[in-house]
Amino acid sequence: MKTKLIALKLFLEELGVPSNIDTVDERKRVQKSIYLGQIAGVDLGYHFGWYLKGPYSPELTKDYYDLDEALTEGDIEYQKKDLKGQLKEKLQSIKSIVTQPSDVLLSQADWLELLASVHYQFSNYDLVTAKANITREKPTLVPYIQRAEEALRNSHLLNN
Amino acid sequence: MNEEKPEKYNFTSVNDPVHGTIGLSELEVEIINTKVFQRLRNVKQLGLANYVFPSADFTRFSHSLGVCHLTGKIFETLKRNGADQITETEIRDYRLAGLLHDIGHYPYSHNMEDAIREYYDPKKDEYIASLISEKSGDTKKESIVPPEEKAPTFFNHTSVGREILIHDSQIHAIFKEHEIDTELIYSIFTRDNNPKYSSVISSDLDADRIDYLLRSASNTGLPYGSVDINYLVSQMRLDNNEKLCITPKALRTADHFLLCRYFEYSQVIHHKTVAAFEEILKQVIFELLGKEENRIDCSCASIVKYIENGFWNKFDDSFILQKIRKLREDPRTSIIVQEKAKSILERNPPKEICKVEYIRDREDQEKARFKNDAKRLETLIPALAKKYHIDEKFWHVYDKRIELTKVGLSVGSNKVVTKSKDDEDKYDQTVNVLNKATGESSHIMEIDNSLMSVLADKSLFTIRMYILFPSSILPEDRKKIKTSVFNDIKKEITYLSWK
Repeated sequence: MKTKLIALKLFLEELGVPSNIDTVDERKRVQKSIYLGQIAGVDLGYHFGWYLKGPYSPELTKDYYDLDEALTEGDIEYQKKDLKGQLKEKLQSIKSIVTQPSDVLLSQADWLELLASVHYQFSNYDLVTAKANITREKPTLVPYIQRAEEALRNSHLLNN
Repeated sequence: MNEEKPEKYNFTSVNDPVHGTIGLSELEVEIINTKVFQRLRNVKQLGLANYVFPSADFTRFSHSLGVCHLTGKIFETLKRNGADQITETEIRDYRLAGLLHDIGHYPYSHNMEDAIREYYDPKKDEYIASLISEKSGDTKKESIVPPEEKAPTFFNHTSVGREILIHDSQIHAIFKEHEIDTELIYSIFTRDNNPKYSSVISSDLDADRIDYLLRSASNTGLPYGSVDINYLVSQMRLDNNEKLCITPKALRTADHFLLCRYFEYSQVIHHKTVAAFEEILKQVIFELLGKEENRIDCSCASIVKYIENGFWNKFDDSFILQKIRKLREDPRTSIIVQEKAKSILERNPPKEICKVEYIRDREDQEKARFKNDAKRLETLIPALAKKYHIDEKFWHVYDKRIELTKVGLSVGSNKVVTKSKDDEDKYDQTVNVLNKATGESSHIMEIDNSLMSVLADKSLFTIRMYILFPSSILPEDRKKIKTSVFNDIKKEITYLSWK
């Protein structure tokens, strides 16, 4: 297994996110978790652009398909490796926000999409434009924008 | 813009040697007039091919206009042939994507992109390796040096294009004014999330490749542009799954097109001197990326910064050429790099010492054997360099495969393959031929009477060895060295037919 795939698998495990990619929601969950982990300071080198479901990295797509293939073929080399301690700490610090709060009536994939989208928009645009963009493109997530913003700020992922 | 008010593609027209008159809309002219688009006037399509084919110095600017024009033509045909579902907005958007598909090319296009990849990939691998350790349970063993905060990564040209559409202020303003979906436009040329007609811009038979073939033929003087493109385009349809395809009547023309592309590629891009110069150019650019002072930083973060502050608009072939001149004049530059810079600046090509070329199946075993052969040749370099007193860095082994289609015949009835995500995307990009009875289409290599049903499974394998003779070796001695090295290689690797 390539080193980058091992790092990807360990990163997801640390966040408690399965690496399954059979459904759109599962793929979305992987994309957005990696985005959040990277902004928490564990950079795997994926660059995210804005796509329909929020921040998205085509390079990551290719890698999680490769990871899936390696795992299907029985490659378990990652089990002999570990993420460095200080990186685990960074990922642990955001683990609590990866799961949706009980009063947020969204799936985990949608919650992660919202968190990543709010972060991306707030980091790249002024507040008014960012909120307008999310409202326009993700109407079903709108009721929870503020919750997502709070969660990001509490985890020190949003500073502006 | 709404459906009742179609875009007019005759706001202005330009004359083009390949297509004649190209009509453009007001919006397209606005895009063309931006600084970031005008930059393409200074990015040559074929890198250093004009060192061999003197007129092959056309730019990505004219090619982009051609792709926009052809995209419009393909959509007109599809609509005329019954694809009523295509909207005016879609035509506008796909033409725009055609116009902008090459906006993110680095100076000297693929040469620089390859140098960047070679520069950043090992750094990224090293960085990623620094993030993990052996699972020992003993945390004390862990390095106390924390990993760097950011991974050293780079963009390929389509990703740079995406970043330009997002971050360039002029493009952004035009898109906003015309309510254009930025994401859709870049998704068309990056092929991410599969916009439904992206094969019009990016596939084995698309506006990009058609314009490329015609423009290259028209400028190199080679006869490979004699494909009946008008007929081919006129036979394009959408199948029942809205996949771009051709009617069976155009099968021969499609085969001819793919053959011509193969010949063009093998005669121009793969030309022994063009390929040699491009390798040297790549090596010199690699030096520029790693210089201690005034290095060219092409990391993702820097590229975004260049786009935002407008530096990208000056980042063209002339910029790099000027850097190469300075590199050569800089007394701190090593003799080897100076010689390589001189090779580019004075058109002093590396010499082909030997080559082996064969056509075989494009299957994994054959590819592995080919790679091993090239590696074997490479292992001879240290001893040869020592024997002939020519530094190892002046030697180079070139190994390339050329194929006629993006994928081979692996979806036929008697072959079973596992397709990766990458493969699936490639299959989506093959030429599709309509089955009129079912309304669905099949890949050209699955059609029994297509040439591609035989040739798609073949590769042209080429291995060459080059030496860039340093100035210290006199011209009269070079010929003797060439002959002698050739004989040495023949003795060492006897199972290949060296020429």
